[in-house]
Amino acid sequence: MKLDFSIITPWLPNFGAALIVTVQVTICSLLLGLVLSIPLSLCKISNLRPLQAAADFYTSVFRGVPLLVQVFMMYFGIPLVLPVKFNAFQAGTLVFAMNSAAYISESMKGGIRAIDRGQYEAAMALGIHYPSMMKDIILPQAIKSVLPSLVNEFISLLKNTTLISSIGLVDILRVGQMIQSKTYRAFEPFFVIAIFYYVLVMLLSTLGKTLERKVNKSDRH
Amino acid sequence: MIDIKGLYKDFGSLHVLKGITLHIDQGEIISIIGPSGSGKSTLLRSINLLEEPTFGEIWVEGRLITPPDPYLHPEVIRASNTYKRLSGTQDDAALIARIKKEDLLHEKHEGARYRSLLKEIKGRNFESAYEVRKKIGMVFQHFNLFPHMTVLDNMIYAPMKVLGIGKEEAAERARKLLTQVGMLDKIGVYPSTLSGGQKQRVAIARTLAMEPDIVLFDEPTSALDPEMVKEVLDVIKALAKTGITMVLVTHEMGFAREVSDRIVFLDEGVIVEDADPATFFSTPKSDRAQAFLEKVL
Repeated sequence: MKLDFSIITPWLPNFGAALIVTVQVTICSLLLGLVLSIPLSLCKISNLRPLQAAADFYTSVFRGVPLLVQVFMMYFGIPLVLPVKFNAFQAGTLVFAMNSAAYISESMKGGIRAIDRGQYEAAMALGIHYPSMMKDIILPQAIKSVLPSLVNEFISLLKNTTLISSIGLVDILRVGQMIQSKTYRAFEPFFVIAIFYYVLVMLLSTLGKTLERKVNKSDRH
Repeated sequence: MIDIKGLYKDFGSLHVLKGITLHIDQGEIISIIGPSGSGKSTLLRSINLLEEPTFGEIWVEGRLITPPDPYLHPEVIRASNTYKRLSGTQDDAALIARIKKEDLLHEKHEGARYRSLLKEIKGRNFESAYEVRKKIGMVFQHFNLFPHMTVLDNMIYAPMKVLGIGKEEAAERARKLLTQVGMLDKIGVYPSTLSGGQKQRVAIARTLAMEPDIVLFDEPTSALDPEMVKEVLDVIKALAKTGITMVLVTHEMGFAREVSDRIVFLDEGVIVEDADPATFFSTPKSDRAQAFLEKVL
């Protein structure tokens, strides 16, 4: 079979729009996930058993249920039992964010635990209250140490967003499927999509490394 | 200034402090010395409540900073049925000590008068840890500077956040103190670029930026390379001359002797000797202190 990449050309505007959707879902999910992960990780390191258990249960649910099932649940299932209604973008973003929060909070917990007791003691000895201590002393250091795993989470999030094509949102993958059904050609569109994701992931990795270098400037000798 | 009464500290089944009573006057400089594991650091860390006492009370500037300890109030013990049951078997003080030591008071076996007295004592106010720590500074063995903040930010963060002073004033205070410890030229750098001695000098300045009434030093030179010990000791020595109250845990015997008003020798969780440096180092009374000094001097 002869390959003909020119069949992609008419679809380029669709790819452009779809790319924006993919990037939007990824970034919104990551930011929301990051915000959610902070209280979640604080619960996990808390001395209060019920908080700890609740946070651990939350994580186990998002780890234990396949992502596609979670997406379907949020989009099709939840609106039938709760008075809420999501469009595909909202449902997808929410699921991805809650998922990321589960994973990020695990590494954040590790990051917080890895911080020397002396940092807490110095903060306490200076009379600093718990919320300020966590916000200004402990979490900035913890986030710095979880940055590499944060970049990994960002990357897997980006790749996982392909699942929203299954609830009808037109992301890059969906455009590929549209091309396939119109032209009966599969290699060219999916090859182009693979390249898209590969380039995006490489960009993210580079961005992550730059960021890491930047925040590590306080460690430089 | 600081009054420690009947202080006990257990870590699980490990009894680290076994009845410490110590008075420290305003402006006094006290060195706590003793073998490792004797409870020196635990005692020091109890003063700013980094360790919570198991029993006993600590008073700072006339204010109770620990929960009131009913066992320290003989009138409570005397009101108990346990006391009445055992009275006559021993003299009063010994009996109270025994009841306390063996923890013989159990509320459910006691009468109404005992309970109401106990309730009154337990209900007494004591100061919150945050208030206490504003007035008591601490310098740590491992400096504990905040690595993600510059020297300046390390210095101004707590004064701004805790004391509520303005940024300009805090920075001015920081510059003055950094000048005092000879670190002004490092004001903009991150701690990781400093040597151990420099870090400790900044840490001392950071503590002083809170304008504490008392400064606790927890083995301030133990983590330093030998050539850096002197620069830190010089800073502490200069500070000692300002009349601030200082409590030091140190292994630097020469320094302790030179700078202290009193030496407290701790062994196995009890104060074995409490004397002025000249007396302690030349004619220690106890065998344990003698044995210790033979090893370290």
